[in-house]
Amino acid sequence: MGNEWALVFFTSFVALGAGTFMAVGFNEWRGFDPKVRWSGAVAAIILLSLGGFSSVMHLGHPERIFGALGHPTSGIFMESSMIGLTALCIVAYLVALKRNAALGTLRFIASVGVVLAAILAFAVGDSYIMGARPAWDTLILPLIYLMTAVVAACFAYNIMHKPNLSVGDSITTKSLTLLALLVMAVLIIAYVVHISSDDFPDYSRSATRILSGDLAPLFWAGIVLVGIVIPAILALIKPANNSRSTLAIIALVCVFIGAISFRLMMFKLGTSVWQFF
Amino acid sequence: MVQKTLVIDLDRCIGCYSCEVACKQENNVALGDYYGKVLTVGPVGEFPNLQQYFLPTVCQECRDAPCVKVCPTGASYKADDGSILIDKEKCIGCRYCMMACPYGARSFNAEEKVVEKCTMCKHLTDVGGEPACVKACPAQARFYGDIDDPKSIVSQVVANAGAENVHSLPDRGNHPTVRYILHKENAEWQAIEPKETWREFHQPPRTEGENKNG
Amino acid sequence: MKQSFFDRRDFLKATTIIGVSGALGLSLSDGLIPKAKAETHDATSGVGGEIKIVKTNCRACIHNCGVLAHVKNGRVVKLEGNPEYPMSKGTLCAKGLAGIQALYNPNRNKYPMLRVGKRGENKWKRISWNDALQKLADTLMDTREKYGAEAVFCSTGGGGNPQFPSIARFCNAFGTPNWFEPGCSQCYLPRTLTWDLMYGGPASSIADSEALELYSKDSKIKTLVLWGTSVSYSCPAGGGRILTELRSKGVRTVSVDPRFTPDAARADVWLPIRPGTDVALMLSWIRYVIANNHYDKDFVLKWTNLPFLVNTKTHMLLRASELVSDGDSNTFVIWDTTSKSAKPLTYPWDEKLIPALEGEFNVGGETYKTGFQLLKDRVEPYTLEHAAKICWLEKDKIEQALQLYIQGPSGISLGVATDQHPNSTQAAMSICILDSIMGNVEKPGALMQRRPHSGTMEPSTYIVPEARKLLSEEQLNKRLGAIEHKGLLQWGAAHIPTVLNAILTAKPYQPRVWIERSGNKFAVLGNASSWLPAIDKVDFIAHMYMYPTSFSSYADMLLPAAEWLETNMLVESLNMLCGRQAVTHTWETMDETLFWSKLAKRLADMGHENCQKAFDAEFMGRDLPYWNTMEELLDARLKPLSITWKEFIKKSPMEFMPYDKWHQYYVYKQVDPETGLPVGFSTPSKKLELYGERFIELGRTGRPYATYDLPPASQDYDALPYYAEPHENPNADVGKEFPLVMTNGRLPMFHHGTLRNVPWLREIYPVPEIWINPVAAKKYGVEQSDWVWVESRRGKTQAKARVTEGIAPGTVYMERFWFPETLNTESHGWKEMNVNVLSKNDAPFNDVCGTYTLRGYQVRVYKADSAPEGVWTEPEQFAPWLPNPSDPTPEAEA
Ligand SMILES: Nc1nc2c(c(=O)[nH]1)N[C@H]1C(S)=C(S)[C@@H](COP(=O)(O)OP(=O)(O)OC[C@H]3O[C@@H](n4cnc5c(=O)[nH]c(N)nc54)[C@H](O)[C@@H]3O)O[C@H]1N2
Ligand SMILES: Nc1nc2c(c(=O)[nH]1)N[C@H]1C(S)=C(S)[C@@H](COP(=O)(O)OP(=O)(O)OC[C@H]3O[C@@H](n4cnc5c(=O)[nH]c(N)nc54)[C@H](O)[C@@H]3O)O[C@H]1N2
Ligand code: SF4
Ligand code: SF4
Ligand code: SF4
Ligand code: SF4
Ligand code: SF4
Ligand SMILES: [Mo]
Repeated sequence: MGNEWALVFFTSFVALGAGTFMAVGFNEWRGFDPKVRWSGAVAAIILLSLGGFSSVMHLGHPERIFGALGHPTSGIFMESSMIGLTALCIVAYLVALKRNAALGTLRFIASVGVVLAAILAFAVGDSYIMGARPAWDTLILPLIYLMTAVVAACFAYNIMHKPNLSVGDSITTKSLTLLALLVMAVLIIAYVVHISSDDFPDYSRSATRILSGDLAPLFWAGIVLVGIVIPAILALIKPANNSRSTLAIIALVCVFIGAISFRLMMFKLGTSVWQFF
Repeated sequence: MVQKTLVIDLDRCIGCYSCEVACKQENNVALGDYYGKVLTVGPVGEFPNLQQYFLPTVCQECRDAPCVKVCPTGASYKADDGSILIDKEKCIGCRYCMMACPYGARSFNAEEKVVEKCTMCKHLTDVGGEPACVKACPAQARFYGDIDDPKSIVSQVVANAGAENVHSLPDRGNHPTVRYILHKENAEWQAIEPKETWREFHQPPRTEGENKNG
Repeated sequence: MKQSFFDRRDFLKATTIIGVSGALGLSLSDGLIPKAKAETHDATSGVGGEIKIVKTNCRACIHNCGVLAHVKNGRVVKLEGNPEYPMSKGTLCAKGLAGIQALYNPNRNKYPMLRVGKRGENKWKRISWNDALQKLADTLMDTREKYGAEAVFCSTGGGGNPQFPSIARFCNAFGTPNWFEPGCSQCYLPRTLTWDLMYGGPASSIADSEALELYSKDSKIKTLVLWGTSVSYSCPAGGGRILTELRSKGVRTVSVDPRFTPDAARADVWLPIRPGTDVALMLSWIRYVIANNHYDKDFVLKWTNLPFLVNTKTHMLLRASELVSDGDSNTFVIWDTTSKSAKPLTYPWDEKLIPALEGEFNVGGETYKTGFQLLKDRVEPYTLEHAAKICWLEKDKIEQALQLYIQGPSGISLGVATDQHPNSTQAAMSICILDSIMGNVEKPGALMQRRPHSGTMEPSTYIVPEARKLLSEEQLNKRLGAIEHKGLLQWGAAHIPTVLNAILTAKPYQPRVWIERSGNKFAVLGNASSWLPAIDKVDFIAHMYMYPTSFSSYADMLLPAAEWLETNMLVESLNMLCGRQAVTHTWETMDETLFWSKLAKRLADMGHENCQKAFDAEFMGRDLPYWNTMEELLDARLKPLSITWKEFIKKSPMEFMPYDKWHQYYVYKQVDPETGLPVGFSTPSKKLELYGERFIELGRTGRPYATYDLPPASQDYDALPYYAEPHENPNADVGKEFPLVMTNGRLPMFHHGTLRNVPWLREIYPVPEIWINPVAAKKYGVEQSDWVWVESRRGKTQAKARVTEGIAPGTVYMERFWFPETLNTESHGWKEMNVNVLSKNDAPFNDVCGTYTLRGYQVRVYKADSAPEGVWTEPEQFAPWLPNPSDPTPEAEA
């Protein structure tokens, strides 16, 4: 397995974890099923840990990681500190839950967590913006990373939700989900446009490669179909009783697969301006 | 400021690979890894009207080195003489610097699990010597020195060549300092990485994603 | 700073050896690749300790560049160039730098070994040097007694072996006329012979460290023609360096080369000639130069034999002795235009005469022409248009090249390319004629120069004297192929295809014992497969080399030879003399200079009279008696400089003559104190003998090279160059089936068959490429990087396709290759991808010296399904051959 797999999983799990906690935070303000608070937060922290674990897998010398503390500008510092802070926040939230803290406290902690999770999701993408790799040299990239988390949040929210959602809530949720997927779709299109307009054009990072080259299956099947179209259809289906979370789980898995596909594609496209060796 | 770097005269380079092997000997570089590698650019054109030159590649000793910027531990740093170095003791092997380098000029040492690159033979130059590749080069096509000092050999070589014959690799804001000299009469400089550089034929370059060591 | 050399190696030490035996499938006690585990020395003992720098000289190719070897606790840890060496000036090429990986290669031959399994099974047992020498001596004595000494033959490497006279000497002492090396007729001999006969000076090969004028501090040369030579690859650190230097000073270059080499890419004019057709182009150059009056008429008249009259029937020059009663046989006759009569021309010149350069004349009832006229007649058909057609060139480009060439001083460096097809000596003659008639002779900027030598070696590059007088007339007459191809007598070698034929047919007698002292004969001999049946017919084969090669697989005894870092030698470079000195010594390896003398000693002790004579100082005289140590030989060699080897290596590199005194021009004009006349050239007439009557004489008698007059060759050699279309060519029948013309040329990371086991070099070039033009590739269904089959009438082999514009659509290029990693498979490493499976070693041969066809024959190329089995292509695969350093060992007792 190539080196990028660790990073693919790292960023995908982080998106999923961040999204999950976003859903928990949302939940806090909408005030429903208290049972999902605990399981949602635990799921989020597990997903983030999986992400963190993946990223450590990728290091040659994880034992020297503390050296990173002294260099707060690096992407890794941002990523790991954001993971740390987000996780800390989630733990605080869990502790607060355990101690039956007041709703206000919980809401406050959760809100901070949502913001941190969003920053985390964005930061993980942001550290790939590099002049060295024209395919990565765009703000669209972290925005896509952020939107992955948001889309994941939408479905996670659906999973956590009580079976009987009010009509209003149901419409809001559905619209938000579709909106998120739409934004995602727009970002993906923007990304392909970005790819095809670089100063140092090369087939390895071309729209042709994405749309009809060796990356086409990954793009059309993984990113477009599984990552966006199927989740959108699942969001549109009017669920039978009790099947809401089943559909949402399927959708979330699709989103995760879409995230992995996108990241894989991104690594394949991420060739440097020259490659000496 | 001081900015030590290499200047390579492609009009002189005869593509003999001596620099590559000299570097391997001097720096004990692992099989399949390189601090410098000689690429063949061309032949361009149609038989028998052809152009070709060799491009010995090394770290471009960037002024604004992105590899340094992304390094989380400070293992990659810009030394006082302008050279970009790696403190292997500090390196966590995250390989972000490899991703940040526009030229794939760094390699991952699978054995030590750290990243390494051309050191401009600091251990030799510190004691007044020349880099191993510079010394070995049969065509005397390689020069080492302070490009910010107009009196240095590298500055003189660049000045003698005339601006239109001095080239550098694409700048992505990193401001490479290595300079290549090539006159049009010999061959047209290829600003964009050519499709085939012969060595790919035996050994395709290994991108970060496809890195054998990953 | 890290202690670079040792870390990784220590790490690999443990895995290395298992890797080798694993990879080679060895489970033998003492296989070709000895189980080194038990023998591995402690690599760490090299850490710490002082670095000592030893001055020595590289021998990874024939260029001898100066080296500074860094030695720590007796182990070589680093190599760099020695700035004092005048030709390489401290630079070093990839092959030289890889010296440590060759020296400490885990796959070295470490001890003498005797075969215990069947031939080809690669089962060996270690024996002592004493036993090895005794066994060899017994076999030799036995064979001589039963079948005559000629039933023993030896072979060696020519390209890289600084002392094949060692072999010649041993053969002369033992009494066999038969030894060969794969270069010789195919390398350099055609040129050394021609320049010697026509000029009496060295040929113009840069790769062979000649064309010394190029290294002059301020050479006046304006145009350098690189004809079938690519010095950036064949001698990067010397020739490649100086060529770059010259180009940067504005010297213009022409490259006549089918392959778009670095030197072709930098040339002002590139002529991608059809392989094997050079002489046609050369004749057109001569014609152009004469027709357009670009030649130096005055020089031609005064300093060449072209104005001399030649009998059109006998082809011999008219001598004064035949014209006038008191005439001298070394005085030749011209046609005096004033008196309209034939007149002897007293050396050097007779102001009273006005010799005709052209014309046909009647002298005493016989028809005579001047040499010049004959040359003119000979080149007449070769217009530029005609040559362009034959050679696949554009007429305008040829003319452009000529325009550069005629603006002298210019010079043509003739490389090995033309030595490798049957038109070999004719090519050499043409170039010698061209530079001579242009007057590019011994003047500033000319390549034809005679510079003094140190006097320590005779001939100038070999420390071991051949001692030809040891070989009797009877035995000389038995030299295989040398009666027909008498050019071979210059080097004293046998003709390879004739030796092969003798082995296969027992005619005129059966060669039975083979001592081979070089690398992989299957990689370097033409039509390698033709040797397989021969090997079955040879009773005993000993192979002496640094590591096992394909050839070892067929041997009965293996002897460990020293690497260049372990040997001593004298090296001349310009006005300097250098000492290649042993930097260390490993295992039980032996310098061959000693090996042959030790073997001769055994034979002498066993009563071999000639070998006994070879130890007799009085009898041997200038040929030196055999030596017991290297120092003995080297001391004797250094006598003319009144210095011992021990003293010398402290001073080496040392000027044997001040540069200005050494750097002479116009040697031919120097006055001979004895005669008061110019010394002229080193030919019988003291003129440049461009009408090559000496070739005729050589063919009829063997003079001036044979120790005894020999019977004539079946046909007279031609005194002038002629063009012969390659026997296999695109228009011949064979061209229908095999449409592409194959050629070869050097690569900068290997020397002949060597260094295929050096990781640093194999990772640059793991498998041989075949260059093919996109047009041809398309036609034959080949794409970039495809594995392909390459096939000739003689066999087929594989290669990796490099589709490139750098070669003509009708030509392909490939180099020799073999694979140490598949030594123990059925192929023994030489069949997979080796251009010499395809090359041609049958007639027609070059008449004068017997050259066969290594370049310019027909092949076809088609896609293969897969890579050949078992060959290594990935850098990491070469890890088992990373150096496994060992402490110095004493010289083996024997
Ligand atoms: N198809 C094809 N075939 C060719 C050629 C070609 O271009 N194409 N080239 C031809 C030419 S030009 C040549 S010269 C031959 C070369 O053929 P060989 O000379 O037989 O080739 P090697 O043995 O591989 O190389 C010469 C050897 O000399 C060794 N050497 C170094 N020092 C000594 C020493 O002191 N004694 C001895 N005995 N050896 C020493 C080197 O290690 C090296 O192994 O191949 C010929 N074969
Ligand atoms: N690296 C390296 N250096 C070596 C050697 C080695 O094996 N490797 N061998 C040494 C020895 S023994 C020798 S003889 C010298 C030889 O050194 P060079 O004389 O430089 O020989 P090559 O490179 O074999 O051939 C010269 C060029 O001839 C071209 N050529 C091929 N066919 C033809 C033809 O028909 N006509 C013409 N005009 N050109 C043709 C080839 O493409 C090649 O570029 O190199 C010596 N140096
Ligand atoms: S791999 Fe090492 S040098 Fe490179 S960025 Fe990471 S810590 Fe810095
Ligand atoms: S070339 Fe690459 S490794 Fe070298 S300084 Fe620039 S970014 Fe860093
Ligand atoms: S300067 Fe030193 S480290 Fe850099 S490429 Fe040259 S030899 Fe290698
Ligand atoms: S050593 Fe010099 S001439 Fe040879 S490839 Fe390197 S830069 Fe070019
Ligand atoms: S050219 Fe290279 S291989 Fe040949 S002697 Fe010089 S350094 Fe050694
Ligand atoms: Mo040769």
